[in-house]
Amino acid sequence: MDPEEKRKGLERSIILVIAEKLKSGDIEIDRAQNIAQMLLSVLHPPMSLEQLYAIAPYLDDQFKELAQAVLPFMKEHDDKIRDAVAKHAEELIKSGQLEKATALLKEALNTKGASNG
Amino acid sequence: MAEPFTPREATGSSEKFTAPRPAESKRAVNPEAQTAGKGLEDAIAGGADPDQLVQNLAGGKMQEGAVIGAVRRPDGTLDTSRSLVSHGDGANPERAHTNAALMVDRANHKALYGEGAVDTDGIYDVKTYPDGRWELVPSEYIQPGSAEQVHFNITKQLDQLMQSRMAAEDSGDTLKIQQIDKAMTNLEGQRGQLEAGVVNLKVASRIAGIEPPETRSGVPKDLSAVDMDELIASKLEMHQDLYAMDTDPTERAGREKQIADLRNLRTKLLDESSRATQPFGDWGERVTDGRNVIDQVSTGASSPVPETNSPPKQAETNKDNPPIDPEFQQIEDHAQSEMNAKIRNFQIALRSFGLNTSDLDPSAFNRLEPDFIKYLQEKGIDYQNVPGQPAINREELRKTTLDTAPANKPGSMNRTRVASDANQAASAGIAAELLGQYESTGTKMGVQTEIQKLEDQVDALSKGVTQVAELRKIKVALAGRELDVIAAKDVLTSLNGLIY
Repeated sequence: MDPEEKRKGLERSIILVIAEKLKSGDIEIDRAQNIAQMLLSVLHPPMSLEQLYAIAPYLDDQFKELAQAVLPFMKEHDDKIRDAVAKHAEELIKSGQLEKATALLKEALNTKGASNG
Repeated sequence: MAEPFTPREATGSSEKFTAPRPAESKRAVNPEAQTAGKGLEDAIAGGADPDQLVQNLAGGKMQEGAVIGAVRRPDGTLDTSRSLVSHGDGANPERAHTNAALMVDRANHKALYGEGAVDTDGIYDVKTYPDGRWELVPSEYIQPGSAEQVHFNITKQLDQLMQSRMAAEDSGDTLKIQQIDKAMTNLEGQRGQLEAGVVNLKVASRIAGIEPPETRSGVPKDLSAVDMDELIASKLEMHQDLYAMDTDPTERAGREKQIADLRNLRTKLLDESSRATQPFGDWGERVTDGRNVIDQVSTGASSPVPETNSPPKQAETNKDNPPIDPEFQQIEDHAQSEMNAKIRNFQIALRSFGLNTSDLDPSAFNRLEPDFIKYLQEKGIDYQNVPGQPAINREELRKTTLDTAPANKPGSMNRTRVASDANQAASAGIAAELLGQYESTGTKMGVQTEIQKLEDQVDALSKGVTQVAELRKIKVALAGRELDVIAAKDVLTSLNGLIY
């Protein structure tokens, strides 16, 4: 996936959320403007996928309404990572490398746990 | 090195996953925000660059007239050769009363964004002349009878009022200025309601002297008697104000007629509502409110309106006039009778193919299908092109039947033959639609649901929940058109649209 396409895709999702909220009266134009200014300040091209996935989870910190766009974006990423880790671990298990598989899974879990914590 | 694993939970605090804040109490939707939201949606749909949209939004251009995408044509496609401009129409209190400023603003659209730039609502265009003059004209994409046309007409009236206001300012006629301001406020309110989509388009169209659109497309389903009444009341008020100001006898005569028409319309609607077995919500109460509004209207010291302002009270209406308007009753009875006959025919047609309307057996349906299609072909109905339904894909059947069927070309119908057996064709048309739904859903539930809906509609009709305007439309559809698959579908659509 082209990182730029990915970034624009996220922007597109966010704009649609803004549009929906504007239409329903949940937000006013000044808030839409604030969101856009925040996006301009953090999503400046070019960005790598790693940078994008590191920043995306913070987009809805200040603007909760953006969770609607951010959560699916991050879930897709999480699912991919989870699948990749699981597949790799499965291959390790099948090849008898149980210790490596355990280490990999622990590392993945620890990464999540450390960050959460 | 970038983090290889950045799940959402890893990068944010748990607050991110807390439940959303309780919904804030909803405010009235700001028309400008609504317009901007729609513009953004259209822009995204039109393939606009999200970076550009974000920049426009961040720069606050949305309120000044940002180019945010392409223009949507009436058929739903996008014209990317034109600029779509969002503006602060009516939402800016400083500008709401200064329509001249709005017009200049629109003229600037052209200057800023080029010839043919139109607003996000696709209503206006700015036509310029070599000598520098310019005027507002309806967008070429405006649809006759659409909300946009009504909107445009209201805006034109506002523009004219603004001209009068400027003249009044020059002459120092403060009373006239006040009257104009009042009329403008009314009109702006109507326009705002239109923009917010809360006004029934058909009513607004009728009041604006425009034939209502043929279809229900774009018409809010929640037809509100309150909206009707308020709209008529405000329109009456505006005409009475204008009447008070007019000095030209011709103008005054025209106003008198408009006022009388509006009063008649209101009286008729009152009669209709009093006749309905299920009254429209708080109609009576709100009508009283509306009447009070009209009663309070100043008709101008110099030029009183030549009639009492108020339409008769509901009770008085019933006393002074027949409770049931014979003409409406006749239309209603006729339309109901015709519709019931169509539905009965449709059910008979289904049964003639062995379809029990209360217990459809999929296997029986499949078994009978070849005969059914053959019947459609004999009637000259192009069963493969029932609009909105998937084509029937039975290759074997097509080979054995299509080749031998005369005058049965895809996309065409033998209308003469269809008309010669209109009832059966109409029934078969509806049945064909059901067949399409059956094909698409693959369950007997889909067919049964449709039949249940029809039966419910018959019940609802008998309970008098229908509206005369709808019945009249259906009557026209039934009586004035050739009955074929399309007409039958229209009837079905109309039936579906009757209950709300």
